[in-house]
Amino acid sequence: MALLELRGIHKSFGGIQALRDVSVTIELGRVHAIVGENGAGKSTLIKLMMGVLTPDAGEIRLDGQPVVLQNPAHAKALGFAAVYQEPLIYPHLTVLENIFIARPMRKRWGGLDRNAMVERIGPIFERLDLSLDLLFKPMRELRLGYQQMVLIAQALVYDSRLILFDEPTSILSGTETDHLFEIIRYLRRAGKAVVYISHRLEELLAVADEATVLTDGRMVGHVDREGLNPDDLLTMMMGKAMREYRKAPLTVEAGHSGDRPPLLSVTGWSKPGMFEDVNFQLWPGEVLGFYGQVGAGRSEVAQSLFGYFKPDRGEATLNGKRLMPKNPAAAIRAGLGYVPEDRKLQGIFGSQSITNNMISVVLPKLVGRLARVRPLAVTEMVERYTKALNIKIGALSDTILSLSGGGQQKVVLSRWMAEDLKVLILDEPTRGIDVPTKRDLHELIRELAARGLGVIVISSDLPEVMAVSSRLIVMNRGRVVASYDAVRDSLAEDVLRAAIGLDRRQGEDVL
Amino acid sequence: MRGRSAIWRPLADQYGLLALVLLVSISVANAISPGILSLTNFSAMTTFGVEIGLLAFGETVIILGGGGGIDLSVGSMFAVSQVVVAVLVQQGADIWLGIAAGIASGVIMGSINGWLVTRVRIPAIITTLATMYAYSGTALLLTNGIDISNFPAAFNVFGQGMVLGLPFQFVAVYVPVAIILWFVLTKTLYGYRLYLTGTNQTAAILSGIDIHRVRMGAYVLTGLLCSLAGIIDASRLATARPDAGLSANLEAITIAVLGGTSIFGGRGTIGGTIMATLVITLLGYSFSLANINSVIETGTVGLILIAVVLGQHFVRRWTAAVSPRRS
Repeated sequence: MALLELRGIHKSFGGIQALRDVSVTIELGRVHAIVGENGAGKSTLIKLMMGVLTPDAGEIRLDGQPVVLQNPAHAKALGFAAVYQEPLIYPHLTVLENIFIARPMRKRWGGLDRNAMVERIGPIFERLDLSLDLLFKPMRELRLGYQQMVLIAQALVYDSRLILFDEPTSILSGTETDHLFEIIRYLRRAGKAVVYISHRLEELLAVADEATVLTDGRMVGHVDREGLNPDDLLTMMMGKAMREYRKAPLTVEAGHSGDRPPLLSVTGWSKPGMFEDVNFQLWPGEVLGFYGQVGAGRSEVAQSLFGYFKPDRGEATLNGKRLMPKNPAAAIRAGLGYVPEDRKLQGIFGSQSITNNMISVVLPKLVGRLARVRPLAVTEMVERYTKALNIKIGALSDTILSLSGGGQQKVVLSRWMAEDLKVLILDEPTRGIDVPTKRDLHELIRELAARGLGVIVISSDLPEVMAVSSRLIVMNRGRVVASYDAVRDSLAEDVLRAAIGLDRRQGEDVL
Repeated sequence: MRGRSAIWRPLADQYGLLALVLLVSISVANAISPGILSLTNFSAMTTFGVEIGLLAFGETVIILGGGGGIDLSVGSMFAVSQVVVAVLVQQGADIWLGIAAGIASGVIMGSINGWLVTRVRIPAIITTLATMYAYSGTALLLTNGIDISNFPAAFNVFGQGMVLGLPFQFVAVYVPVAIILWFVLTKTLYGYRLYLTGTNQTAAILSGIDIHRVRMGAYVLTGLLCSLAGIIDASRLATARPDAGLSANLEAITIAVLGGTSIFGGRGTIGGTIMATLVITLLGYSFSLANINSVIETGTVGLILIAVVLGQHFVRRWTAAVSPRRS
């Protein structure tokens, strides 16, 4: 029986279309998987179901009746529960308090009725294989896997009919994952509707009854249990990758040849829990792509090379000299640049002018007598780079927040233009950016490489890394799982397969 | 739509709203004590404004650096440095040596604050709450809790001298300090880095800025300014008081915030702090001239603070809502 129907849903943020014409039917007693790459629109879809966002167009029906989910509390009251990747908990309260926080059971005079609550949760905990002793422990003492179980217990206490799992296994160990799957199967038997979101295909095969595939905000396929096989799902996920990839000509020639020494060489780079034994080399004039899912450890590798924190083990050399910067300032002096992943939190200086945002790195070079920053040098620099990067601005004294995401990203990138860079690392350079600006940025990346820089592009967008890189490295769960010395469109499926962890075979041209 | 924003925008920056508040306070001051707007009175007012004004400058620079930066110990540093001068002079030291030692004590105390906040990583509000007590205790220890008042006549010039009909400390200390600080904050490498650090510390680190050094500088500078204010105070009253500056700790913060310095860092100006110093000094002076209970004065300051901060918030939001967005 259909519990929840989404019909012709559209949702956009700014100029970015996150979902277009998506229709999904969630049925009771079934596990419905939503599959797609990062950025395919999965999270947006969950947020719509949980009342965090409202659709721009389209209809949501509950039990056949149209419904408008006003806010998360409303969705909860209707019987929807979500278990997110990082459990949302109150760490200092006990497990019991966490479970009943929204709807505590009370005695007649208004006090909390602990006994009634324990009685209520007892059978559920038994069902989930959880000890009742846990109830009085502070939530923070539980491992993440158990915290998730507690949230599932909460959903059952509230008699939720729809339980949504968002990448639940990314923080779980193997046995915890197996336990979770058992519980999901139990939920299905108990007649609940389960929505399961993941990019790990092998897991979906283990629990899902049906799957909807999203790429780039579009629904590209829906398959039932019989049709669930990794190859078909991969082909559907690839659809867009191949289309876009063919449109973008590969203009960067493979940068390295046997006799030239590498510009940057990294060996045994490790920080347990983040990345393990990462090895790679970067030659001048090439763009090295780092592909993988969010959380694969790519950004962490970049940030540790940039001196933002230290790896536990490993060696790096830049132009033959040892590289182990104690902070980003030292990394910049050595010739490294880094454009961070989270533009808003790590990139821009929000209330500051466009000018000040552009000169933050190059400041020391603009200083004249009396430690004064020379206004003429500032103007000259800022004018040159707004023109070179084709940044559309009103006045340079406007705050950076007056620009679109793409404009802001160009400003952040322009910081590095006047530096004596040897290596520039770009972390998700085009996330949330409109297509024309994306194209500009890709062009710029190629230009920088053509000038002799070594450029590293970290991206979860497969067509992007395939289009812009001359060589490619794939990471999964903190390790380099594949590397390719030449990027051809026939490799796209292999690359995606490696990133998703379907198999760990090396690319044909092993480094 | 543009009309609305064009009319209200001047009020969105701290100068516009502060100018309004200043006008209102001048007329209130004039109403409760007629004749207050004379040159004599202005000269007298600057005398009182200089000391708290210097402390507020320091507070402004620290808060600008962001990361929860604040200094609750400015009044205590103010007391210690004047007592250091007095004790040394009492022991027969040269007056210039005493002054140098007083300034050095301020720099040292500021460095201790900065070291605890940026290196030991204790939140500024706790660090300076602790050092507020510690420095205050030091001042009492140094003098056994007694005021010291046998300064040589030469010392009086710093707080009692006149230059061009205006107090020495206003012309020779406050104005130059204000100009230097304005230059440092708006024109120099340090100033740019201070604003960037205060606006987004992660982005600042990733731009290669040593944010701890930047913030350390702000605390040291504040210690220095407190010692200058302390020396002026001792000279003005010809007495060094170990319990001087008790109320100045919070007053300095009040002025900085009233002057438009965002408590979250990255936003604020020396000009705004100067105007807020004027407002507070003017009110204090006219209330005491009219013999109004100081309790009422304190309450008034509180009300003004709330009104101005709220006003800035709403006008800023309102004009932001109607300002054009470009792509």
